[in-house]
Amino acid sequence: MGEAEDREELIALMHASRIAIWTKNYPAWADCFVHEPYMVRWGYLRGGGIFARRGWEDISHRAKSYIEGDMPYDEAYAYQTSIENLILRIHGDMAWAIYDQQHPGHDYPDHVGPGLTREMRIFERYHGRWRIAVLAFLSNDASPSGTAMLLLDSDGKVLWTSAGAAQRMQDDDDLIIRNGRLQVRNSACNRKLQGALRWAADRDKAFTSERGSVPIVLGAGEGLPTRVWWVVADAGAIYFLLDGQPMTDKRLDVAAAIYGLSAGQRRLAGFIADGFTLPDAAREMGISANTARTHLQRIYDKTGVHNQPALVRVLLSVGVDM
Amino acid sequence: MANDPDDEAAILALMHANRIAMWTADFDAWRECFVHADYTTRMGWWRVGGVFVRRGWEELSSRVMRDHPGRRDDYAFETLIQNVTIRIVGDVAWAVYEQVYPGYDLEGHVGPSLIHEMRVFERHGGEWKIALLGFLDGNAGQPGAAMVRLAPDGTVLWISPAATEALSDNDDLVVRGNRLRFRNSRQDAKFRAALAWAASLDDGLMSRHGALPLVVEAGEGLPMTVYWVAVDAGMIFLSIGTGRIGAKRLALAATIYGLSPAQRQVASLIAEGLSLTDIAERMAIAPNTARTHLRRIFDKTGVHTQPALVRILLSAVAPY
Repeated sequence: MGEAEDREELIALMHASRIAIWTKNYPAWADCFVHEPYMVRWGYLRGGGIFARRGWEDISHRAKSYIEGDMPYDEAYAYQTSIENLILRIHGDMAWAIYDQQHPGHDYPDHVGPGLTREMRIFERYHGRWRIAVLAFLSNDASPSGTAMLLLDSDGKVLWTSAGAAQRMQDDDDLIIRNGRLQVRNSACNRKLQGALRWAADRDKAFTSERGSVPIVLGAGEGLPTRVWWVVADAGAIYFLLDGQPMTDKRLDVAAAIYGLSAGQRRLAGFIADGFTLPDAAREMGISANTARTHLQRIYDKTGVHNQPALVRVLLSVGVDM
Repeated sequence: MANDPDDEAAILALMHANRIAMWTADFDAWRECFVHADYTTRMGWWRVGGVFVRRGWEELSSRVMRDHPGRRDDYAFETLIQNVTIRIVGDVAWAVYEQVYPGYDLEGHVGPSLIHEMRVFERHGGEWKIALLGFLDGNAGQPGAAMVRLAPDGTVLWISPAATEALSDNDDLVVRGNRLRFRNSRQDAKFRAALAWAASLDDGLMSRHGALPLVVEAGEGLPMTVYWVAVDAGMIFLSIGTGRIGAKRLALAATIYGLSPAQRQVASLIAEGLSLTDIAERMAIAPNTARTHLRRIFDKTGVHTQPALVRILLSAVAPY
């Protein structure tokens, strides 16, 4: 077989393993791999962390229950995903490849992102056919569901918008997209945004990778809450985050679980964290001020604090230190 | 088919040589380890910097000199290579293995020092060279994190310096026969259950991380302690709460809202639950001065109640 045929067969194999997984076809997936103890699946997923699995026995066992179980069936992912920036080195009966897979915009629960994965494969000719011996990928997608985020270039041009962001941008008085570029209406704040974009574009120039984020704060004036947006530089991409609401809610949920708050107590705690006074919170919840006071006292008993500022601190400080 | 022992020995030597060159800051030796081509690749993930994929020798080599963290002979010469798989076919080979560094304690690198490595080698002019270097480094907890790595039965596999310190005056936990236990038997039963949960969490195809809180109530008027059993990168950790996250968030919030040092101190004491009178006393300032500080903080942050202030102070964390 010549190099051109090998190349064609290897590219077809890259697509075939992806198509098999997204069409929930385990036998077709299994057929793409070397069934040996040295087989490897290796990489990073934001939602799950790093993984380095070895051996066909372990990997196939996990894959079968995943593909036939939780895995969603998605023809768009199977057939409309493109392979880009391919490097493919073929040496006799072994080959390796580096490429990017661009999936059609990711918006699954806990998988919010522009859908770009960085892929790596090592192939071996196995029983006369090319098969995958090492499958590696790095995926940065996956944030809390509903995350409102934009992917920007260094000029502020919007490259991708999450469903949560599209919805929130519709009635946002502070943000505007002009000629495809994101701007803040307030000009002082807009200068901060443009500065942050330049900062972000300048990240990731070192030998080891570097990520970071910069807050953009808009003081909305008397009586109105301050808005905070984030410009995030990560893996060479620039993200703009509309707010951290899902994160704060999640933290309150964890705190409620830790301290054993009832549903009513959890709601009241949320209002207090939002800056409501006790009578206002009672009105919002449709309960009497006395009931609210009782709830608050129970919350104090459960958390061991005795005033509202300390309570909010306790509730929002929960988190694992790593 | 077994690998040629000479090739395998040469490849193993190259794995070490590359790391030794890096940590002795010998860049000439480091360059010698690689294929110098447009397809030479460095890829992976580490907690501090995230995902990286660098393609091409030119880009890769131009970056290496700039931010070398400095010579470390212990990393160079005392690092172990284990669980090695090497496959060699003709003039190409690949390897997957683990490197265990001695006491990994660089700034921003806290953890049991186990790094997952991957290499692709090519033979050029009779010499094996690295064409692709990949690694996954899940270590890098917060500096000062009090973490203990555990086996599913509670055996201590690794302990961070901050955790050693935290355990020395901790009444809840005890290490006996190298196994970590809670003194209180009800707490210990919960801890065992959390370990069992942790051991089975990462059993799917896709990686999964997660954390379960264990709350120890200290009794009337005393703050409770929250421990976390966390699973990450296929490892189980017990994290001992040290209150540092709050401090970090407060510092970030002070930067966001442009608080002066005195305003920042007032804000952080409010977050601790002190009254304005107590704060004035603690800072040795007049109550009116404390009140003025608070008003300025309200002006700068745009909130008007103390609970709302604490909320925005603690929400000051990049949500991604």
